[in-house]
Amino acid sequence: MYGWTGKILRVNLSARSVSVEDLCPEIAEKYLGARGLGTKILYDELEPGVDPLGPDNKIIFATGPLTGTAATSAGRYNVVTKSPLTGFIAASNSGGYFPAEMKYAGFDAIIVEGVAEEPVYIWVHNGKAEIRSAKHVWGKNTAETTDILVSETDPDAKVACIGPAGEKLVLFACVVNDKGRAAGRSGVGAVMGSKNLKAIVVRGTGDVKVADPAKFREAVLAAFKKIKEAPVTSQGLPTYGTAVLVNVINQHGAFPTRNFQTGVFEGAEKISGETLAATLLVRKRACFGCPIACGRPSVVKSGKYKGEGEGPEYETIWALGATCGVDNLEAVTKANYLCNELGLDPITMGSTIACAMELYEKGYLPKNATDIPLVFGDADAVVEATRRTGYREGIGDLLAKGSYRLAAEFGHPELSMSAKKQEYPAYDPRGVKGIGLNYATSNRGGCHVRGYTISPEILGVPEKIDPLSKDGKAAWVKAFQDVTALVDSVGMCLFTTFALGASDVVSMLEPATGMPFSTEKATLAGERIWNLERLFNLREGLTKEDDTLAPRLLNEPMPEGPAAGQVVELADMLADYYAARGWSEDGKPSAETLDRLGIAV
Amino acid sequence: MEKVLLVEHEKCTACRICELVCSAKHAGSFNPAKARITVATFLEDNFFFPLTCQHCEEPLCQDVCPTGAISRHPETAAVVIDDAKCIGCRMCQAACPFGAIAYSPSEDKVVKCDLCGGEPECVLFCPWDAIKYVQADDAALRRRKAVGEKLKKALQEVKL
Amino acid sequence: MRVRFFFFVSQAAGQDEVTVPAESAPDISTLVRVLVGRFGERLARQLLTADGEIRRDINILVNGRNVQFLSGADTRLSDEDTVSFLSAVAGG
Repeated sequence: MYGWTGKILRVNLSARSVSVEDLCPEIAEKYLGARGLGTKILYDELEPGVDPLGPDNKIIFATGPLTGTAATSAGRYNVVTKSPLTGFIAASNSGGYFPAEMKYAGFDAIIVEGVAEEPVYIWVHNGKAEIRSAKHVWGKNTAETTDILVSETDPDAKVACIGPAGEKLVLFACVVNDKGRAAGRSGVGAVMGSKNLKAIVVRGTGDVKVADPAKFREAVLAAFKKIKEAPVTSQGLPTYGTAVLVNVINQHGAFPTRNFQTGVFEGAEKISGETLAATLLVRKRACFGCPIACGRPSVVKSGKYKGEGEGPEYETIWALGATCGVDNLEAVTKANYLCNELGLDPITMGSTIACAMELYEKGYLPKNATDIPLVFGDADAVVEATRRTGYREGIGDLLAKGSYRLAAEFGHPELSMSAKKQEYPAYDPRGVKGIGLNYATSNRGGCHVRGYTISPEILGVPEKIDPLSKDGKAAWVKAFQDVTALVDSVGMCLFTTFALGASDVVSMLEPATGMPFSTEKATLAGERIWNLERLFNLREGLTKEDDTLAPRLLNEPMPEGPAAGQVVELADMLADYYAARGWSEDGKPSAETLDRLGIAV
Repeated sequence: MEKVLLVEHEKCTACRICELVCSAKHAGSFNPAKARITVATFLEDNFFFPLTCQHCEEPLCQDVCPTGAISRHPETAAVVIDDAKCIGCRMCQAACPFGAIAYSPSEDKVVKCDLCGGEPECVLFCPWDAIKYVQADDAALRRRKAVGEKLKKALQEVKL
Repeated sequence: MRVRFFFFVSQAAGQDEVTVPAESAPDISTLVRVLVGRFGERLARQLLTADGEIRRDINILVNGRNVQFLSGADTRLSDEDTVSFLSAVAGG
C-alpha cells in the first residue's frame, strides 16, 4: 500500500503474544487511519458494556495515511479506546515525533488487548515487537521513564508512556509522548495503567511511500504556500502560540472564570499569551513535519514554581488559571509541568479543581473532607492539588474521579462543568453558542477539537458568524465535526484547517494513497467516522438526554460582559443538528443515513 | 559565483521537514534514515541544528578516498561521490568530522548531500528559512565557516 | 472612548491602548482614519487593504461585540465605549 504501511500490530498482554496483521484496503479507504481506523477496530472488536478499566477493553494507537510523509503538519496519531471517564468512545490526538516514528517502525496501528501480570512496555522496532518488563520504571514520571527506556532501546527511539496518574487509574490520566506532547483527554492513560502497560517505545528505519511522488510534492508545496499565507498559521500561532487566545476570548466575555460563574476574568492580562511570551517562553518548536510550530518550550527560572518543560498552552492557562480564579502565570506553568510529568489531562484537572473550589466555598464539600483549603484564587492550592491527584494522595484521591463524580458524591452534580462527564474546555458557550452545541454533541464529551466553531464565531475564519446567535449553528457544527474527523483520520493537525480545507487534504491524500478521493468522498468519510463513533456510544447506552450541557449554561444568564444575559438555547440548536445529521428525533442515525454512509450495522 | 548552504540554527524549529523532503528526493520515500540532512535535536537544551555536508574547502573525505571517487562538482561546487568509482570502503564516513556521509543499507551505497544539483530541496521546503542557498559572498561564507569551526571544535571535544 | 490594541495591531501602533474622544471619531470608519493618521503606515498595513478598505481578518469589537454584528464600519461610538482591535491570530 502507499501512504499506509499496510500492517497492524496486535499485542495481547494476557497471552504475552505478538502478531502482525494486514490492513484491509477497503477499511482504509472508508475509515482512513488514526481516529477513523481506531474507531472502526474498536467498534468491530469490543463487546458492548465492557469495563473500560477491565481486561476486555482494548486500546489502539493509530497513525494516518499521511503520518510520516511531508504533508503539512502530518505528524499525528490517535489513541482510541473506551473511556473510563465518559463510558463512551475516547479518541485522543497527539503530535511530537512518536507517531511518524511508529510509521517508520512499520505499523499503521497497534492494538493492545488483555492485561499484563506485571508492569510491561512494548518495544516496537522495524516490523518486530516484544513485550518487556517495566517494573523498573513503574512509579516514575513521564520524563524519567522516557529517558530510561530510550537508554535501554535505541538512542533514536520515541516513547509514549503514562506517569503515576495512569498507573493509579486517575480517570483523566493521559498518554504522554516525547515528554511534552499528550494524547490528553478522556482518560486513555488510565486504560494503559489498567493493563499494566507503562509505555510503547518505537524506532524504525523503514519507508513511507507515496503513490505519485511528483503530484504529491506539488500538492504539498501548494498547501505549504497556503499555510504561509493565512494569518493564523503563518503569524499568529508561530508568534504567540495558542495562549494568545486568553485576551481574545476574555474580550468577548466568554472566558470561563471560577467554574463558569462568569465569562470575564479580571486577571486575564496577567496570564495572557503576551505576558507568557514576554516572561517564560524560550523559543518555538514544531512537531514532526509541521510548518506552523505552535509548540512553546518554557522555563520558570527561580522561586517556588521553578521548572522547565513545554507550554502552557491556551486551554491549560484557562484550566489551571482562570477557572480556578488564579492569575499567577508561574503557578499555572508549574501545575502544567506537573500534568506533563505525572500524566494528567490539564483541562479536566483544572476544571475538577474549580468544581471542588465551588463545592468548598458553598459548603457542599465539608472542610474536613479535604486536606487543602480549596479557595478560588489560591495558586498554591492548584499546584498542590494537581500533584496530589497524580499520586492520589489526600484530596487528590477524590479529584482523580473528575468533576462529575466528585460533584455527584457531594450531592451537586449540576456544578460539574461537563458533557457526558468530560469537562468543557476554555470557551463559555453562553458567549459562543455554536461551541455549546459542539460540546453537547461531541462523541467524547466536552471538547473543543471535535468541531472548533470558535474559528468562524470568534476569529472570522473562514467567515465571520455571530457568536451570540443560535441560527445556522447546527450546519456549522456538523460541517466542522465532519472535516475535523477527516483531518484527524489522515494524520494531519487540526490547526492546518485555519489555512486549508477538505479539498487541500484531498489534494495530498490522493497522490499519497493512489486511491481516488474527491472532496465529497473524503468529507463523507469524516461524516462516516462521526456516525460510527455515535453508533458505538449508542451501543454503550447513550441517549438523547446525554446530549446536553450543565444547567448553569442552559438556565443561568451570563452575569456580565459582552455576553451578559445570554444562555445557551440548546434545545433549538439540537433539533436542527439532528435533522442536519439525518438522525431521528431521539438522536439515532436513520437507516437512510447509514445507507448513504455505507455503514452496515 | 559559487553558492553555499547557509544554516541559521536559531530559526530551526526541529520540524525535520528537511529530512523528509531530502529522503523523498534522493531515495524515493519518506524516511529520515535515508536523508542526507539530519536535524540534531537536543530538546532538553532547546537546541536544534540541521546538519549536512559542509562541502568543505579541503574535504577530508576526498583525501582519504582510495579510488578517487570523491570530487568537486564543476558547476555547483558540491563535494560529490561517483557511484561508479566508489567501492564502499566507508573511509570517507570515518573521516568526515560532521558525520555527513553515511552508508545507506537499503540503497547499498555511501550517500551524502549533493546540493540537489543546485536546487536544494531542503531549502525550498524549510518553513523558516533556517537553511538558505546563497551566493558565497563574504558574509555568508564567514557565517558558514564560523559555524563550521564551532561545530568542529565541539565535535572534537566530544570525541576526546 | 478607550481603544485597545492587541497582538500585531499593538506591535504596529507601538502601544496597547489610547483614549480617543467620541466627538473626533463618532463611528468606526472615522476612528480607523483617526488611528491611521496618528500611527501611520505600519498601523495602516494592519488595518486596511491596499484599496483602503478595513481588512476582513481584523476583528473590531465594541464592548466585546464584533462590529460585523452591530452596524459594521458605521457603528456609532460614544465616550463610554471600549473598542478593541484584534488580528485573527490563533486557535486553541
